[in-house]
Amino acid sequence: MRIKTAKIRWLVPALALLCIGWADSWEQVKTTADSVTSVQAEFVQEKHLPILARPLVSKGVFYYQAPRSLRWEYRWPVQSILSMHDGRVRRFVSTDGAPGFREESGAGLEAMQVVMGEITQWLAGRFDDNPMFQTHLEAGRRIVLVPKDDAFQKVIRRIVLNLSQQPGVMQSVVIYESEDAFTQLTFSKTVINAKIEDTLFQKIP
Amino acid sequence: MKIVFVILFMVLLHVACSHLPEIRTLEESSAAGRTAGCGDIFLHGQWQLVHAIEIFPPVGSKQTVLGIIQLSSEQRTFHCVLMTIEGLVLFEADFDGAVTIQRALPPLDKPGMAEGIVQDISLLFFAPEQPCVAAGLSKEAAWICRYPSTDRGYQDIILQPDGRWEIHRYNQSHRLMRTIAPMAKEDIHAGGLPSRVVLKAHGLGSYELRMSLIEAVSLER
Repeated sequence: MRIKTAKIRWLVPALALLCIGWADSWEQVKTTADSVTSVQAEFVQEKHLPILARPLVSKGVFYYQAPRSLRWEYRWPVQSILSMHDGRVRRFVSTDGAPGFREESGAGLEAMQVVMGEITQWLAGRFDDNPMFQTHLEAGRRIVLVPKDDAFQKVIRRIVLNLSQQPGVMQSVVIYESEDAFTQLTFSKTVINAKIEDTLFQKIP
Repeated sequence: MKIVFVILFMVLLHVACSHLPEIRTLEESSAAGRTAGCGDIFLHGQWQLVHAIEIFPPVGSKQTVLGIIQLSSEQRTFHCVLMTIEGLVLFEADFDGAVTIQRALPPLDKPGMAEGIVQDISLLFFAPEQPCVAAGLSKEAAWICRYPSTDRGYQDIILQPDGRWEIHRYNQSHRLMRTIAPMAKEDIHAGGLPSRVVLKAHGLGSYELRMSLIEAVSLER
């Protein structure tokens, strides 16, 4: 019993060391992110708009494979997959009445190409690499990105990334279009460095 | 050069031949009730609706967006938002007789685009503003209610014998501009809101919107 208690005594500070301080400086964030080769997680997306009686909720999963592969998959209420592989972003949507997914283009896809490129940068710990944003690392593992360009600010006012206590893990992302119109993504069941098949980023069911 | 004339002739012939479908009026006592039924296909009260909208443009591949609308059928006002599945707002506007655009990202910032969106929403969700000027049976034995519109066009509401319905919008030349119908009979529900509906814009720059209802919330207190 005494041995177990001693182990726990050592375990708690060891875990605390792991959990606190991984996001106190850009260097720490980058060093931690360097060890991340893959991430997969579930997410809940809440769209908040002044007119909405309650936020519009979507749910899905995402998969990231270093250096630049990402699959962003909505499962509810609309089934949609955004995939990025070798820098190319494609969108597939499953619709009522038609079996499987069909590729789509059009409004928003170019913007998503930028956003997905940015997400892969964040997952690799490179938050301050993009010259389009002014980036601040704040206390409480919070990163704030503000677009430098006025025209870009009309589309996105700022992005707030909340990092988890668990090193290398993102807890939530909030994308503000205005103070009362924003999209919040909250992640759960995050798994780091598990094997993800390349085909997941290349083939759509 | 010849082919230009042929195309021009065919377009002019089509316009010249446009006409409203014939209505055979009936003197029976049930006619008033059937005509009143034409207004029952629309929502009444204040609602918030969320749709997945598949847009089939005249050129290029289709795209899916989410549409949110808060409407008041009595005041004939609404607030609408179109956004990508990822939550990026592409278009936001108010309508209270006039259109006020809050946000419009390309390509939805083109001239006339906002007015087109507002007209389609009004046709989809609001009962005709003017009183019915003619009602009766079509050649196919469907019940037609005909309403004039402020632009000197017409709107027909067609109630099929099997319960299906359609909305046809004609311009002042009596040319068919829009058709709206539930995608299938099983999409029609009591209360006036089909779970899936298709809007077709005809003529040059034709497009199609397929709308699947995700959520309908009454805003009545």
